[in-house]
Parts: sequence; C-alpha cells; structure tokens
Amino acid sequence: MKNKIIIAMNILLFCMFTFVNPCYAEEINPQKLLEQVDENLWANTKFITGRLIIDNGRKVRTLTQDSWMQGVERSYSRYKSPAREKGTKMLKIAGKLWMYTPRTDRKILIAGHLLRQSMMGSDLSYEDMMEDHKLSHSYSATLEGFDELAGTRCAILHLVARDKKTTYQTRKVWITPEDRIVLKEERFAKSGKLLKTILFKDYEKIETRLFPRTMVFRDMLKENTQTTYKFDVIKFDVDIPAKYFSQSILKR
Amino acid sequence: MNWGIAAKNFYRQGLRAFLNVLVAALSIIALIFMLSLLNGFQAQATRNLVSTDVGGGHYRAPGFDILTPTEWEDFTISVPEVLSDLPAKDKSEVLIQQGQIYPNRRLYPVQLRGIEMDQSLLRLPLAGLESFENELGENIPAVVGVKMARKAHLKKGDTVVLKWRDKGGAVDARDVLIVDVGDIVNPRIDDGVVWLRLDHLQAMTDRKGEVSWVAVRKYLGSVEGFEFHGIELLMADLLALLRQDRINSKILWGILMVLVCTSVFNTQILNIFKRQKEIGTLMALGMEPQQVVKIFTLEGVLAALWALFFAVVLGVPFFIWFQGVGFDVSHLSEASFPIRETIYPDYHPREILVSVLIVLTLIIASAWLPVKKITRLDPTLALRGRAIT
Amino acid sequence: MISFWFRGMIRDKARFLFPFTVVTIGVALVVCLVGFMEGVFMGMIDMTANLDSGHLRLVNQSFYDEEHLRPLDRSLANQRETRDWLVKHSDPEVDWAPRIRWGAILDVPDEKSETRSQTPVVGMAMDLKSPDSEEIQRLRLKSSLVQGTLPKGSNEMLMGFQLAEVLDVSVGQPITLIGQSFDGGLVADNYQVVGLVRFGITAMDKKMVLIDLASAQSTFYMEDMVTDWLGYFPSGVNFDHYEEVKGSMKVGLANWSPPKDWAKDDSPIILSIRDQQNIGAIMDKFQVIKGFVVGVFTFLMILVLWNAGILSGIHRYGEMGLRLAFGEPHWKLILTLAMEGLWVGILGSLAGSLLGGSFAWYLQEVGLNMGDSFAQSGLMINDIVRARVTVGGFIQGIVPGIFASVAGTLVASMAIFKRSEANLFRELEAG
Repeated sequence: MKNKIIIAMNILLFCMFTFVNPCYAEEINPQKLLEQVDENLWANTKFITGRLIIDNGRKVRTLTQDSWMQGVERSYSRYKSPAREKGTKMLKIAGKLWMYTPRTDRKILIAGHLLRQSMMGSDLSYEDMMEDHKLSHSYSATLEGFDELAGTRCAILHLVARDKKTTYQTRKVWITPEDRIVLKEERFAKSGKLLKTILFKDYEKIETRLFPRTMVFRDMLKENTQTTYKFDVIKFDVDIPAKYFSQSILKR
Repeated sequence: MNWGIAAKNFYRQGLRAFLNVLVAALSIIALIFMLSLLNGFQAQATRNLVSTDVGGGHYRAPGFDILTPTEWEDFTISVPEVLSDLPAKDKSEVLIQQGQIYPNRRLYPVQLRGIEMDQSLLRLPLAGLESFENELGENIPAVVGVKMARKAHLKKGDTVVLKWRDKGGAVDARDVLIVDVGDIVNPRIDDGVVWLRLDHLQAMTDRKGEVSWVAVRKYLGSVEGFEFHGIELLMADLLALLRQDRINSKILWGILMVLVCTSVFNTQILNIFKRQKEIGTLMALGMEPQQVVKIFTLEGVLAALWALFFAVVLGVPFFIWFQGVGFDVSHLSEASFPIRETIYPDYHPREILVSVLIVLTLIIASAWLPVKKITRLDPTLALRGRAIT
Repeated sequence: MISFWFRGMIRDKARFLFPFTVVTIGVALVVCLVGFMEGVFMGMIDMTANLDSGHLRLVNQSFYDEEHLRPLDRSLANQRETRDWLVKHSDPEVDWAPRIRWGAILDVPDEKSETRSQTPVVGMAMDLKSPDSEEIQRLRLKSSLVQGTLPKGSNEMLMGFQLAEVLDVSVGQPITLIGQSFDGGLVADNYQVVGLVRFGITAMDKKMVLIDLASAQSTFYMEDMVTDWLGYFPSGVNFDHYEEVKGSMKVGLANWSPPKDWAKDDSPIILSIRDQQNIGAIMDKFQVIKGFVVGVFTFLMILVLWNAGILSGIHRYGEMGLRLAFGEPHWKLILTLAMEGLWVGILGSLAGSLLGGSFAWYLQEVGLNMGDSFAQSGLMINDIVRARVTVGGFIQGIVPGIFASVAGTLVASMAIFKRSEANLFRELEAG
C-alpha cells in the first residue's frame, strides 16, 4: 500500500515537472538565480581547510592548505603539506597575485605569462584562481533549459561575459532551482569549444549555507588529468586578522 | 730569342712538362669549383632566407623578439599607409602570436604565423590557404611544414584543436584543418610554426589591421613607430657561418697550392741540375746570368699559360655539366640551414680572375725560386757539370 | 751489398733526396688535408654533440617524444645503477655524462627583492663542479665566459650574455627560477648568476641558462634522476664506431631488468648522433664530399710524385747505361729501381706521416686561432680551426705515396728499354 502511494506521488511529481515546466521556466529569473547562487557561495569572510588532489594521469599528488577569503577580492592561502610545498603562501589582493616560498624567502609576483601556467601542477591556472568577480557580476545569464544531473533537476544557465577581457567568454552552469546550488559548470572558449568542466559534489549544510565539499576540475583538451578540491573544514564569517591580507605576511 | 729558347726547352721536356701542366690546370679547376660552389651555397641560403622570411628587411613593432614567445602579443602594431599602400610584390604583412595545439590530446606550444594571401614578396607553399574566405569558418585552415608535421604527428586533412588568446586575453579554441603539409625550405619557419591567413589570425585574436612586422623589398627610410631590421641583422648567424666556411675553404686551397708549387719547384730544381752544361754553355757564349734566369722563368710562365689553357679546355665542359646536375644538399635543411634543393655553383668573374692570377703567380714564383741561384753560378764549373752538386 | 746500395741511394741527391722530399711533402699534405676536413666536419658534429645530442644518448622514449615540453616527469631514476649499466654495456672509451634538460621562468628581483622582470628560459644542467668532470672542457666554458666565473658553490648559474643584457643582469645578481618539479609540483629556487657565457648561437645566447646537475636535482626535486645520459667518444674515433657501440647497447637494452626506482612505463632508448637532427644524412653527404676532395687531391699528388719519379729516372740515364754496359740485365735494373722507389716511398711516407700527422695533431690539440676577425663571428665552438688525426688519413696518404713513388720510377725506367746502351752511356758523359 505504501509503495503504491509512493508510486502515485512519483507519477504526480513527474507530471508536475513535465507539464508545469514551461510555466516554471518562466518563473525562473536566470540572473536572479545566479545572484542567489553567488550569495550562497560567497560569504563576507570564509576560512577553508582543504586538500588539492592532482592527478596528472601518471601520478596523484595531494596538497593540503588553509585559506582565508574576504569577499571575492582578497584571499590568502598557506600550504601545509607535502613537505616540499609546506610554507608556500599565496596572496591575492585586488587583481594581483603574489607567491611566497620558504625556499626562496621572496615574494614573487605572478603576472603576465606566469598567470596562465598551471597552478601547482593542477588543472587550474593561476588565472582561474584569480577570478575576483562573482559570476552574477561578470556574466549575464539566460536560461537554456533543464536537465537532470545525478538524479537532481537542474536549470541550465548560459552565461555570457559582460567584459571582452574575461578569460572565459561563455559558461554553462547547472543549478538546482530549489537549493540554488551549482552542480556542474562548463567553461568555453570564445568559439564555443568546451575547455574545462567542474563538478560540484557532496553538498552539505554549513551554518546557513549549502556548500560543496568536493569540486572536480577537468581540462577537456588534455587526456587523463583531473584535479579534485576537497574542503575538510569550512567556516563562514570568521574574523580574519588584517595582517593576512597584507604583503608583510609573505615572509617566514 | 729568349722566348724561342724557353719554348723549345719546355716542349722538349715532353711528358714531364705535361704532367706539371696537368696538375696546375686541375688545381685551377678545383679552386674555381670550390669557390663557386661556396658562392652558390651562400647565394642560395641567402636567397632562401630572403625569399621565405627576411625579404629586404623587416619593419618591426619596436621590442618584438622572435625568441620571446610570451611577449609576442604585447608587440603588435597597426600598419601605417606608407607600408600598407605598397604593392603586393613589395611587402608582406606578418602577425606572430602564441598558440597551443593538442595533437592526440597532448599539449604542443606553437607559433601562429599569419601572412597576407595576396603578397608575392615571400615565396611560401601556402596556396592551400588562398581558396578560403576572408571570414573565419567552422574550421580554421592552416598549413604546416614537413618537419613540423612529423614532430606533431600531423598530416594533410587532419584536424587538431588549437587554443589561443585574443587581444583582450579571452581564451579561444577551435579545430584547425591542416589543408597542406608544405615543403618549407627554411627550417626556422617550419619547426613549431602553424601558418594561417593573416585575416584569419587577425580575426581570431581580435587584432584587425595589426601586425608584428612588415617585410619589405627594400628599405624605405625610417617609418614612425617601427624599427627597421636589415638583412645583416636578421641573418647574422648564417652570415657568420658562411664566413667561416670561406676560411675553411681557403685553408683547403692553401694545401692544394703547396702541392702544385712543390711539383713545379721540384721540376725546376732537377731541370737546372740536369741542364748545368747548357747553362754553362749559354753563359760562356756571353749570355748574362739574368738572361738565363729569364729563360728558365719563361719556361715556368709557359707551364702556367698551358695550365690556364688546359684549365679552360677541361674546366669549361665540367662546369657546364655541373651547372646542369647541381649538388644535392637536401639533408641540410633538416639541420638548421635554410636550404633544401640542389645547389648550383655561382661563378664570379672577378673572383675567378683573381684566383687564376694567384695560381699563375705562384707557379711562376716557384719556377723562378730555384733558378735564381743561376746568377751565382760559375760558368766554367757549370760547363763541366760540377757547379751544382 | 744492400748497405752499399742504400748508402749510394742516400748520398745521391737526385736518387733519394728529391723524390723523398716530394713524397714526404705529398703524404704530409694528404694527411693534413684529411685531418683538416675531418676536423672541420667533426667540429660541426661535435658542436651538436657537446651541446645537445652526445655521440650516444640514452633517454626515456616518452621524454624524447615530447622533448619540446621538457617533461621532467619522464626522467630516468637510479643514476648510479644506470651509469654502471652504461659503462658495462658500452665501449670503455665512452665517457657518460648525465644531464637534465629543463625549462622554467626566471624571475629577476629588484633591490627590494620584488619582481622586476620575468622571462621563460631553456636550461641544461650538467656536472660543472666535480674536479674530474669533462663537461667544462667539452663546452669550452672557460674560454667562452664573457664575464664572471664558473659555478663553484650550489645554486649558481651561467647565463647567455644576450639574455643577461635583455634582463639587465650582471654577475652576482640573485635570480629566482620558477618551474615544475619532477612530479608536476611548483618549484621556486634562488640562484646567483656567477658568469655570462657567449655560446655563439643567438638562440642560446638569448635564452640559455646552465646550472650544475646537483643544483638542478635539488631544485626540481629530482634526487638521483636525470633526463639524459650523453655518451662521448674521445676525439679521433670514427663515427662508424658510434653505430657499432649503439648496436651492441641496443641488444643489451632489451635484456636489461630496469632499476627498482624506474617507473613502469619508462622505456629508455639508445640513440646515436646520427639519429638526431638528421645528422646521419649530413654525415653521409660529407663522406661523399670528403671522398671527392681527397680523391682529386690524391690524384694530383700521384701526378706530382710520378713526375718526380720520372725526373729522377731521367737524371740517371747515364748510370743506367753504365750498369747495362757492365752486363746487368734489364729486368734486374728495373727491379732495383722499383726497390729504390719502394724504399723512397716507404721512407717518404713515414716522414710525411710524421710531419703531416704532427701538424694535424697540433691542429687537433691546440688549433689554429683565426684571430679577431673570426672571433667577431661569435661562434664559441668554431673560432679555432681544428683538425682531427685519423687512421684513415694516414692510409689515404701512405698508400698513394708508396704507389706513386714506385709507379713513377717504373715509368721512367721504361725509357731504358727504348734507348740503346750506347745512347745511355753517352748521356752518362753528358750528365
């Protein structure tokens, strides 16, 4: 009996989605949805302890790091392991990125050509990391349709960059309208060729927000490479000492 | 009279004289051949560099350095009318940008070189690109050189992903269709280079009207905003190498000349030794020692003149034949010489004249050197064949 | 009897001294010529070998395939074991030099130690510090230093002089090198520029940096790893021998149970210089050119020697007449003449080889400095003309030396048959 009810409910639900969809689509304001996504992801301040698992097809390396972020413009990361990378620091302040390594005991500006290099050997470039705008700020969104992803219905938003200088001129994001979370993102070249995909997994409620515990980056032009970002500790609205966002932090 | 005696003496030597003449003649031929082949090599290498890349020099965006790919995008410039108005045969606009191709999904950094399609200053195997529209289509047509094709495992008809940045820094990527694998005689513009239409590359990178340099047929005076790189600067490495080749060939030729001179010298020494009585008689009859020396030296001159004659008789047909056959150096372009096809000697009349004069002088000098001791000869001893022992 | 004949020969200028001198000079010239040609060519080949390819090269197949990317993750581990294997399976004459080819970005700091400029460079790491290392000599680093010294401590760097100009760097400048480690991680390490080098090849002068192998291994976290093993034969070894050694090493390679630290997909290959940059075809073509030049030259030398033989023969018609008059048979006379020719040929060839060989050897070891005008061309490796002493050169000199001497004498002696004894005897009086 119970099963029958469930089946009936499923059918009802299916019908609702199938037939209600057109009106539901009209109800979605893609730009608004994108803003809501940003709001969910971007707290005023944030602290993360995470693992960067880099698989280059032959070898898997894991880096651990602590990161402090303030808005989208400021961030500071400190690598804790492996031994070689321990003590390496990255500081991003308003469009500039510096790196400090204990071995060189210097701050090195990562600019120009170096920005396009792979960050710590991963599928992310420093430039990818440098993104300092909320998606809703840099892109205009339109609704492309709906799709089911890992059993969840998603609205697919097509994002077009507002500025010609934005690295990826178009993106596609798969967002669940109910939870307003991103499950997948695709980044495209100007021509529309797919360059990178990012999967957002293991969403968890942390304080008032839903936050993915895992992000998987793939460079679609390369074979067999993948970078996984695992967030072990996430704290929102933490107090960050001012010195963390000062260049003077870039020393021993 | 001196001529008569000298000539008679010379012809009476028969085979000995002939062998000497032959050696000298062959040396002259070898010398001219060596020099001319080197000229040909130099001319061809220079011509190939000029006709595929250098032209009569480049008007470049100041700061542009072909060896610094990361800065290529920072040094582009719009072409002013004084250059853009030149006829197609006198200039070639070139845009150089960085890109990456992914053959077999593996990264391969490349130089994207866009060149005007209607230019006729540079000779490049890019006919395959000409038939395409100015506008970018689905696939970007490109030509690669043989060497590049081999290294990147590409062949005609393949498509491969190309990634690049536009002027603003946005990433772009498309499939590139290899419309042709070209035979590019200059390896420097083959290895690691993907050839595109200039209008395509400009559209791809959002750089309408911009170039890295304009190759011109000849220097047009200074053009504002550009710096001129002349042929000597653009070909410095090659010219240094050729200069060194010249020195090497001179050493080779020096060794050859020592052999020729030894031959003539030796002949003369034995001649004097054998003809002491003749010398004694001539002197006893009242001939001045200088006159005797003259006779013997004239014999040397005769040998030299006959050598010249034989050099012409034997050399000219050989040179004509060789001009038809040429010297195949196809392997060199695989290394780093901008040469692929067959080399033909390049004869410079002035150079030939000078070389021949040097050879003749050397022969005559080696004929004179041993005979000058005749002046110190005691006629009475000479008559008895006891003057030289 | 023989000593009597020998003494006679040596005392008679015309019988011995002239043909001997000619043979000596001729042979010496050929030995020199071959040595010189070989030297010029091998100089060109060795330049490539020393800088880049080695005479033999052991490299991981996957590194070789993607050499333009300098994939350090395709390096070969177990340096000692690899070297032992190489020494055991190649020729004992070969000197094996480990190298690392790397690429990175140079970051030049200002006085506040903040980034002033950055540029990508290509680099080579080699043993620059061990006292018995041949690498410094091989690359002629001492003579091509424009400024500064060679690395003595760790993390010291030699830089192409044009690169230094562009970066506005002088000796003593600290530099940070940013690249990728063996396992793909980020690498940043400080170096000090201790010397500026003029390689003579623009691309290298503008983009090349040399560091010591141990420093590179520490910087790129490549302990006990190298990307290349380059094998060098001593100068004078014919390049056919390279192929023989390569062949035997290939056989050995198939049966090699790889050292424990090698990756599963490591598959080293052995290459000779012939296999790289199409040097093989150039070598073949050079052999043809050399054959042509030496052939023409030898032909000319034979003519000269022949002529000398004839001349000395003619000079001795009188003596022949006398000997025939004493009743010596023609064939015996010609036989002794031929023997004399042979002796002159042998002695002349020996003297010529000695003379030409020592000159070629001098050119090989010391070289002929072509002076300032040449130095301006800026070619590190080639500013000195060098020869190379080879066995082939001696053979190419000695064989025609002896042959021409005997043949020349014989041709001259043919004339004896044509003339009557009386005629010859009269010429004795005359001569």
